[in-house]
Amino acid sequence: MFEEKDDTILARWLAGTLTQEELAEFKNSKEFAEYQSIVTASNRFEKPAFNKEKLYTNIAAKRKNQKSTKVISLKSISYVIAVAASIVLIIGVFFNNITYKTGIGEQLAVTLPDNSKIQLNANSKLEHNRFFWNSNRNVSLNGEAYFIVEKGSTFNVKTNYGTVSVLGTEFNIRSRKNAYNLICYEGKVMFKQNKTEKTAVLTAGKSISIINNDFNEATTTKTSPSWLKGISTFDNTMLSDVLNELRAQYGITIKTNGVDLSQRFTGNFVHNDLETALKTVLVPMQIEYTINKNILLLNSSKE
Amino acid sequence: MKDSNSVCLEHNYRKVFDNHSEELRNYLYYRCGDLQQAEDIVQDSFIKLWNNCKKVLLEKARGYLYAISKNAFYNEVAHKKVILKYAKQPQKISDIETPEYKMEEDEFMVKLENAIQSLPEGQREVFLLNRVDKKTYKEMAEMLGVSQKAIEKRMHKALIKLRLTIKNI
Repeated sequence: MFEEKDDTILARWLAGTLTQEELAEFKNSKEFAEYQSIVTASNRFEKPAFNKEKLYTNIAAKRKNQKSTKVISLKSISYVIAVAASIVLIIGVFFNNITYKTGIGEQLAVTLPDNSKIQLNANSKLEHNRFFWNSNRNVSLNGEAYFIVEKGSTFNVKTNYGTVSVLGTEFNIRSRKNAYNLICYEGKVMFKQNKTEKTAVLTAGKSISIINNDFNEATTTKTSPSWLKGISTFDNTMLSDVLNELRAQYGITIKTNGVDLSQRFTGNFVHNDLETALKTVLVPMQIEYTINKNILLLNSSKE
Repeated sequence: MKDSNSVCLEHNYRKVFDNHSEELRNYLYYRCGDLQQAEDIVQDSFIKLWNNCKKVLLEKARGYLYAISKNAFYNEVAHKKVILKYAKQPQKISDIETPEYKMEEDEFMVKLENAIQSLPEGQREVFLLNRVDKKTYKEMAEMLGVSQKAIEKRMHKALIKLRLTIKNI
């Protein structure tokens, strides 16, 4: 049969693209008349009525209507939520820390979210989370601070030297350059050194200092640090450390001129009178000094 | 995209509608046999085109409309009979003898309509778009997003099936 010659030949006949030979062959086939009748009859079909203007008016009306009730796709809602969440997260990450700082000679009283009281000594910095205190009970300290912890409250105080874990207690931490000193006045604290992971438990009246990575234990009979009353007290402390504290309280520049900074000092100095403070520290150590404006020049009288 | 070619401009949008709404409606009608449903789908497709006018290039608007319309069919269930009016006065038929169809012409038309009804929809839409809407194979290939060869095959099969169906009735 002609129609079986290939699978598009009838379509090509309809489009008038058969070759002369093909067309002649087709016209001779007995099916030709039947196909011709179908095509002729199908030409009588009319397109269904189409009211274009009415349809366009309908569409225009629907377009307008949906403007007032425009559907916001879920995709864009979730996009907005994602952006909002990111902003909250960024605020959380970058603005989550509360920082307390004291300048030279300043002191600052701080209350933690659990009502624990902290007194911050001069030239010190204390940080803790603004949010989520319950899940992150960490306070970081650089400098010196006295903690009066609410009973039943626990948190950690992190310093460059180690971490103090507290449980309803009173204690003082002094974490300065090359000096760490922890005194427990009430209750119990645990100290864990960063470098060695060595731990020490301090009960009331005990203190430790770190000297060359070793714990140097001592006792005290005081019930609170003297610096709260404006006096810095030292017990067998390296001179360099004492001078650091003088800097923190008075903001002076110190030129040591070869004076032996490893000698030990036991005593105290006041925070409100530089002349007196220098006398009380340097005279017993037999160190000559001159003070000009804010510059302290040391001369060892031993040499 | 140049602004002047944006589908978002009313006159461009209107042009797309003028050029393609009827053929789209007819294509949908030949598929589902329900004029109202066909027009509803045309409406929805054009509204979607408007809502996405920034994303659809003017020259791609036609393909977009057909793609949207075809998707609409996945949700449609009912298929009705395609009813076409035909000219009461038959055109001058060629002088070729048609001995096998000694029936009344209207009777033949009914048989043809029934035969068209029984075609698979792919063949039916190609046959009717060509015979009624005078779409060329190339145009249909563009509209339906298939090759011209595929359209020709469908037309070829449609003619064979129509002949056999009419003969067997």
